[in-house]
Amino acid sequence: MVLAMNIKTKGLLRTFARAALLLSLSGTALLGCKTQSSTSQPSVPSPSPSSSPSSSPSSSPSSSQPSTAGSSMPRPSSPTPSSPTPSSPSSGSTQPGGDNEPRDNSGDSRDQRSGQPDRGAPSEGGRQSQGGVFNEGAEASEGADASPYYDAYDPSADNGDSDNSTDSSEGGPGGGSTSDDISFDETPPGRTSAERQAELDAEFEGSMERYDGMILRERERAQSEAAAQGAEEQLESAGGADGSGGQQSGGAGSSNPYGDPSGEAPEQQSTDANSSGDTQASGGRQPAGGPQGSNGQGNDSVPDDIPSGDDDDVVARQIREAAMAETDPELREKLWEEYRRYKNR
Amino acid sequence: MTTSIAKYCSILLLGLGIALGGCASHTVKTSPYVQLQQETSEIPESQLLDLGVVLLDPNLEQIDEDDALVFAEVRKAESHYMAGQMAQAIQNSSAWGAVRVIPNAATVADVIVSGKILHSDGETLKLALDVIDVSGRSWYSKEYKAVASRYAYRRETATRDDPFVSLYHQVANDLLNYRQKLSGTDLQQLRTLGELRFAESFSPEAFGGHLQQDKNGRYQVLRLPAHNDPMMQRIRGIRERDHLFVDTLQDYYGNFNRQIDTPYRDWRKQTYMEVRNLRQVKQQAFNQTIAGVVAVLGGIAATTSGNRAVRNSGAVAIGGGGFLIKEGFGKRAEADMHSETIRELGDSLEAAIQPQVIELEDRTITLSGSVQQQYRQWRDILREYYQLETGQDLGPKGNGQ
Repeated sequence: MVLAMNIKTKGLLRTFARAALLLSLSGTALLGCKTQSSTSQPSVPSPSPSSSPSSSPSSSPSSSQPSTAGSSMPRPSSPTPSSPTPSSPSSGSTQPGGDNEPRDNSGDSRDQRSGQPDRGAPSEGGRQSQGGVFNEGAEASEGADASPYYDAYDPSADNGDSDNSTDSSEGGPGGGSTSDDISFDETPPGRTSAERQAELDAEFEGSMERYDGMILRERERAQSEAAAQGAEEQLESAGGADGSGGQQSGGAGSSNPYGDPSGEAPEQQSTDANSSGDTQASGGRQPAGGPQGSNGQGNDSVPDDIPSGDDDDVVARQIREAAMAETDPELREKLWEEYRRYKNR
Repeated sequence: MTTSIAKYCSILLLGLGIALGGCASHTVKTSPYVQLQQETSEIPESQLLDLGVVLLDPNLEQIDEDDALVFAEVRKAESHYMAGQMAQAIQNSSAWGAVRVIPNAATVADVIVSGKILHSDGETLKLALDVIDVSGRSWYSKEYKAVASRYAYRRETATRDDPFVSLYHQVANDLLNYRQKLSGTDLQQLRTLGELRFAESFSPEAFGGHLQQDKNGRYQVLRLPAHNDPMMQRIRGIRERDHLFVDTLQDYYGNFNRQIDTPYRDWRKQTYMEVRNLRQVKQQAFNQTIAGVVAVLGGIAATTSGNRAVRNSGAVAIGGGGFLIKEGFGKRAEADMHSETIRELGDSLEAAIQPQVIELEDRTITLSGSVQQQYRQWRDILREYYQLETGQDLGPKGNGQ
């Protein structure tokens, strides 16, 4: 009888062991299933993320996606039979307290937000998806500190790369939100609108500066070419200076309908379009070679042996003004030589 | 009776032939000089309209392939040169803000002058111009023609002005006259429209609702942005950069015109004489041929007369007519020589200016490409600004167009 009882007991024990094993396995399976299907249970009441001590610190509305994901998880205290064990919360950072290990939960979520790798429990598969989002967000924030948008809007960068980099920086929250069926929001989590605005302002100003540099370089190049052409024409006209030489130089100089850019040299740095347009118009009326009135107004480029020029005729005054306005030292010296030769003939 | 009629007809034809053959082509030309009108009253800054002169259409598509007097590269160069001359004349009228030569009509300006070159050589210049303002209203369309004076190319009497400066003055005067008919409110409205259209081109999300376009393509202002609208401040900064870009193009065009000025003026001077000679020789050839044919016909008719004197006159007329026809062929050959000379002059000028034309096109396209790329990126930034400031989700980014 004892033997029978032993056998029976063993059988019972075996049965209980099997049942326990089955229960543990089913519990594990259910736990994993519940974690993965946590987002598809909208009917389960969910706490708001702000009420949770372990919620995301971000106050941006764009941070709703992890909170929403977490909010759909049932409370551990729910009498639902399939609810996960309190020791294995199924959501991310927004899982409220009441767990046996609420601090672990919040600590896990904080670790995930800071970009730490997930605690690799299989029961936290769902959290991985959220954690992955957090990781990507953290990476995005780190990337934003290095201004990926500068590269995105760099005029010399490829547009495709800029689009890819922009998409990648948004892909984390965007991908997570897409998978979680949440509306798209470009502002990455963890960044306020003001910060994003500041980034855009910096990017906008930077692009303006780059553009200004490019345009001003082109203008200087064009104006230096114009000045060189003007100086050559002055040399040619002065070399053949007679009754018609001055007329030819005047004709060649003032026939340029755009004015003489060499006369606009002081206006190079002006960004006012109207003033540059007015200068362009006035430059067309001025004699070629710069401003009128060469009464020795303190130009350091005038050699010492050059007189004041009060008695200069038209041709001499044009040569003098061209020499004073010339930036190339070689050409300037040639022009002064021509001036001396003309004055001493 | 029949003999009398034949006699009279033969005498008449003979006389006609002599008259035609003896007629000298004498044309009186007047080249009136059009003085440039200038605005004397001070214009408030809010009413100063910016004007853009689009590079003239070379009109190469409508040119006959057999036309030896038109050269493609010369026309392309002239499209820049003449636009610049026109802009200079308009600027000198002191009635406008910034007058610039713009590459195309897509550039937003308060008033845009565009047109095509109908005919251009050293003697005659014909342009067809259209003027339209930023609201889409067409001011007028008009053809202009000018004939250069022979004294414009003489060394002793030539002035510094372009030989066709009267045409440019006429264009500027017409613009000024039309502008003076507009009220101050109209002018200010155009300025506002110009700014809003520019803003809309860069940020349609923010400024698309400020304008309305009717079925005729006319724009109207629906509402104005706030005085301290940050988006409008950004747009104004971009617009200043756009002005910088156009001013840089002015430097390019100015350098180009300076480079081609001497060879182009020489070409005009030489083609002026050749074109005049060509026209005169062609006319002479035509007259002589016709006269010869008429004289021959008259002589043939006279030979049928019973009067010996008339028959003798007819024989003389036939001989004379034949001579005139031969002279006509000779004049035609001379005209071909003048055409060949004009063709050689054009080929020579093309060879001289083609490098400058290619360089200008290359630099302009390169700069425009860089600028347009930057504009696309600014559009994307403004789109992000709009989304951030309004909280609206505009969906995926476009291509920044």
